Amino acid sequence: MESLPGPSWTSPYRWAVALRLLRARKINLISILGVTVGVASIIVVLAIMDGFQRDLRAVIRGTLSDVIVEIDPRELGYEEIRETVLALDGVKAMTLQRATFGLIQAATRDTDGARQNFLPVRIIGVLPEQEREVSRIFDFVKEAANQPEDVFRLDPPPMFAESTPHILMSKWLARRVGYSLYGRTMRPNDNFGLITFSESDKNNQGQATWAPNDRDVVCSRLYDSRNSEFDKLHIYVDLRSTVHDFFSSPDGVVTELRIKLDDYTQARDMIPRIERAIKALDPTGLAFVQGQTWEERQGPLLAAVNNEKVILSFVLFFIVLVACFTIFATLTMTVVEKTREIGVLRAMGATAPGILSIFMLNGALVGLVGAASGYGAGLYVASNVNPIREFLRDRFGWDIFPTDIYSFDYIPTYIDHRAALSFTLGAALSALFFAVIPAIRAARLDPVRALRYE
Amino acid sequence: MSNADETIRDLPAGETADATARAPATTALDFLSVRDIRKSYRMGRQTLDVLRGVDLDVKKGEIVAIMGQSGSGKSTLLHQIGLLDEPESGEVYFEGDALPRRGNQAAAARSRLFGFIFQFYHLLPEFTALENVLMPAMILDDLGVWRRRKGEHKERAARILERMGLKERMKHRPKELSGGERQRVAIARALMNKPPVLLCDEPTGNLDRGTAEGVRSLLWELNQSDGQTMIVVTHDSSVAAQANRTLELVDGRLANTGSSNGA
Repeated sequence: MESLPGPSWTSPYRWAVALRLLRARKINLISILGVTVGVASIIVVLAIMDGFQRDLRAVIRGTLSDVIVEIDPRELGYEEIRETVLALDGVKAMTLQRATFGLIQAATRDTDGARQNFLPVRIIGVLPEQEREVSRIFDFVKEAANQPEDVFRLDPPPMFAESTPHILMSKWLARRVGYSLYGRTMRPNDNFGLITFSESDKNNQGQATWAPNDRDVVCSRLYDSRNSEFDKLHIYVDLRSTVHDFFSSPDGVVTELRIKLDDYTQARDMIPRIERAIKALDPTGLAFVQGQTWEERQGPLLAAVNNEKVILSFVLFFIVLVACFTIFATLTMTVVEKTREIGVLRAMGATAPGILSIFMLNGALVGLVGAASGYGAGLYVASNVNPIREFLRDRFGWDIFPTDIYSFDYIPTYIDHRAALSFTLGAALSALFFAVIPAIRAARLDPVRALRYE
Repeated sequence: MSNADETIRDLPAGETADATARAPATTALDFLSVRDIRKSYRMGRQTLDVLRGVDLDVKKGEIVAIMGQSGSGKSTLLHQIGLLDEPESGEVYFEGDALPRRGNQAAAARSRLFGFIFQFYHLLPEFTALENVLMPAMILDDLGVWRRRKGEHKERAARILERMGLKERMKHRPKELSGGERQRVAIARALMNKPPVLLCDEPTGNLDRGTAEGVRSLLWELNQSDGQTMIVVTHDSSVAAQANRTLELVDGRLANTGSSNGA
């Protein structure tokens, strides 16, 4: 017999039967919904985790520079170091920070009335015009200043002595201290007591003793880095004008160099060069010089956030897997229920690959429709997570994101479209993969047995 | 086609398909011929020989009824003729050409040469009557041809349904139709690709007497008007009585019952 043109792989019945089975069987909706929820959850959670990661990095990086170098002893002249480091290729800017500890005098109110209380703070001395070039701390200052050094000035000058040290403090501290002293948030021009410690005379054994210095300081500006842990502890002063107030003693003062690079990706290569250059300035050769990138300094925190993201994605993909098992179960059930119809289709000329493609198409359609709606729903929720949060809070009194726990007063989101699309595609492919076994079972059905199936 | 086959056609045609006809070389081939079909099933450790070398010749425009007890292998024979199942041995010839037994070629031959009608209709419940009738064309055509000829196919399907007296039922799903209507849709579906041979497996077996007679007369009318060739497996002696020939499947072989009424 001459060769007959066989049923083509493009025969329209495959699509017609697959689509009709999909529409007619309501249980397919459960499978589609499962994939939708899985994909949407992954996209939303990833967007929030990515948002957290990015904003947290931005916040942390804002108070740090590309590279931080700790130096001990501090007798090395700063100007000499600065000249040497800035001469290195790849170094864009550099500054010095000195830090010490102090106690802010506040008050605690309880049933017995107000009591003296102290808040420990880290006092950071900066060179404003140099600091501006390496970090973004001045970008966090609420009331703008024309020049960086203006952050530490008041116009008009304070009513009391102009020599009173001017402090840049966080909004958080301003609220905390302000309420205890003034019954309101502290404003620029408000003054408060700050206790620092300086070395005084040596005792009988020749050891240095420490004496508290209690002095008035004035708040010049407020900043808000959005990192509440940082804000609770740090106040800034102009190093030049306050060096004698706070940093007179070389002991108890930590000196750090803050360096900005032309290209941050080169940081790991640059650090040994910077360390070597500084060490070469020390005639004793014993100087302790250690450089770190800002990420290394905040390593555990950043790694923890990243790790959380990976674990959550992994766990959430199980939702998609469960949905895929639903597809598997549904299709297996469909194959059993439709055994006779499969036999009839074979009797009409449908081939085994044709039957296979009907059920593969069914699984693929469930996966595609589910993944696409999950993608859409995920993007919608991720883009509107803050309005949704406000709606839930205002309507039901349920705050899903208490701001006192986190560093942010909003839910940060960042949609990584490539990752979202990869997960969507992954879910659709998983659905197709789980359709393979039922589809093969359908294709391998003996048409005669299928027709006799009851 | 082999030389051996050509020789077969030159020989005088056998009038009946009785158990004595064995090798193809001994009989000439007709419009549709079956030669030495053997089929057995394994039942646990036992082997059940259902067809033990069946020969059959059907002339163009003939209605052949096949009777036999339940389990005698009537449906099995129909499946073998319709290329739905592979025999252990034997061939099916159409107009002298041996038909392919497996793969896409068998599917293509099945789709073009045979129209199946089943006792339990076997309509696709998700599709309307019209869509059910269109299904064989959807299977046979590729997408391009289907797009070109969709309108033509629809017209033909509607015409067949109209001829079956189902003009008003085209948009109805099978569950909305009576048994007789369903079987008429199944007949329309079997006719869609204009198959030269209809294979009917107890077409009236699931219907009440009145409806059964209606369906039978419809099939016979097709034979009268279009010269439609049919092989009808039936338990119903009144149906068999009106066939051109009635054969009985006994012990895995076809025996002529002697009735040849030429209806």
